[in-house]
Amino acid sequence: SRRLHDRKRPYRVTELARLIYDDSKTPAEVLRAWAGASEAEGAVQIEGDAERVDDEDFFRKVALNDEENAEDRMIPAYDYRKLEEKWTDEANIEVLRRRFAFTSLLEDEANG
Amino acid sequence: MSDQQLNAIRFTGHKFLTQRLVLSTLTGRPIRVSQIRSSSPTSPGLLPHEVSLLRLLEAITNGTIIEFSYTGTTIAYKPGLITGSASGYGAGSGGIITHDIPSSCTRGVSFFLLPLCLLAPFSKAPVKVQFTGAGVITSATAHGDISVDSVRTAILPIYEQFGISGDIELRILRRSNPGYGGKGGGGEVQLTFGRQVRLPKTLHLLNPGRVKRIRGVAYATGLGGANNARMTEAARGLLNPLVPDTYIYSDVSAAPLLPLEGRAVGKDGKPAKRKVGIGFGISLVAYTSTDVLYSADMASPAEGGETPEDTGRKCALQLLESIEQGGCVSMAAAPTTCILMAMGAEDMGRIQVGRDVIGSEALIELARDLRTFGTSGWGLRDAEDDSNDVIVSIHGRGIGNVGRKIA
Repeated sequence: SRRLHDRKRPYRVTELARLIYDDSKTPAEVLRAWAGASEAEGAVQIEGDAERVDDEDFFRKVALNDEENAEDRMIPAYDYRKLEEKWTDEANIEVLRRRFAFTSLLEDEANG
Repeated sequence: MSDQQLNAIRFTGHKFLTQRLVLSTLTGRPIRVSQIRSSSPTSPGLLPHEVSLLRLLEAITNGTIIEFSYTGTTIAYKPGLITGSASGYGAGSGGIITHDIPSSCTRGVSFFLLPLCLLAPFSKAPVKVQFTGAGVITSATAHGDISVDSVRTAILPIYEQFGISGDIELRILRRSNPGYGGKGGGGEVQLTFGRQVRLPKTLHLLNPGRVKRIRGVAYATGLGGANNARMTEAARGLLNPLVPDTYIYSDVSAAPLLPLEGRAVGKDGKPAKRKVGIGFGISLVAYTSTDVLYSADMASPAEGGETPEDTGRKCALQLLESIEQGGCVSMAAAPTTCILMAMGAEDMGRIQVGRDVIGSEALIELARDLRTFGTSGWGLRDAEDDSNDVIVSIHGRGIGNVGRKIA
């Protein structure tokens, strides 16, 4: 998510506006495309997946299917260990600080 | 209208079923959903909570026709009028519809409340539904459902911005966490939605503001209040340095007592009962200077083994994540807001949302489903401030209460 804030080419809004109604892609594929993965990259990834399935036993296949069979969620499934790391990092907290009313605006201006 | 002759819209898969049923009921267009978990070896077809939701939709509408295939992997749904709890349509004393949720249900009661709230403003009569039974889970669940506290404090206030306010109440009569194996609970919740409108107002929300206070509810069912204190303490540890104005209520209640299935009589000759839905959880809501809400929810897992400190801290982390995503609606509230906007007056509404929120599968699919049901496409552009957000323009359909008109 940090990457989003650099406003690099991949996450352009015009791109999403084009992709969002492209019915040939599933929502997950749209997100991958928006993140900047080219068609070729996607294909390679799928190929790799297929090989993995061949190598591994039968039961693994069901597990791989999980993403497709997932239930609708209201709250995204976060990896809380990663979040813990992220929000104990002072730099991240500082960036977020400007979203809070108790940060003085003067300080903001002085910093940047 | 010629809607009756229109062919059913076809969908596949169990994902986004709720949202499709809601849109179908609002727009009056029949749908047909096939391949519902048809590839699942263990539980093909509809799950108990989905069947229960369909029964609820049937209860608050008149003339709804639902057909299941033999295996339950295909349903045909032809919506009727949203009548609400009008007398003579199955409502009991006091005009309240009682909806029993079976004990095999694994989803929180918010799974039923959110679609119900979306339909309620377009109903003919006030909607009063009491959720009872062995399957009512009021807390957050491991399946990503939000708690009833969040529905009350973070979702219902959204309706106010659409001019839908007054006589809307969500009363928590008995709390419950998920029971054994994440199934069932035994809670009790009553929703009164007494405000019906012809059209929701056009919404323009472009200033997320800054977070100025945080409120929350820590709840423990069948456990001591010390758990609440510990959750609150852990959450405060993370949030207080950022927002001094943090207040978290504590609610301690006894666990629901439900009759034991199978064994009819206990030692003392009375029906045997057992406690279900023991656990704790916490719901946090951050308010900004422009009344934008971000919510977070966390509850103890049904199998136990998590300290209240962990639960509280995870909830605070989730809240920070939600605040960072930014925009004027959080991930949990975005679908509700967008659907109301699309059903609103025939005018362009604008809302600023975080990049991660619009870039989520749920919202992309919602945009597509809305178009399938005949609303115009969304316009997207960058926000003018330095926030990296996206401004979504949604054109209302201007027909609001469709069901009423077909009648």
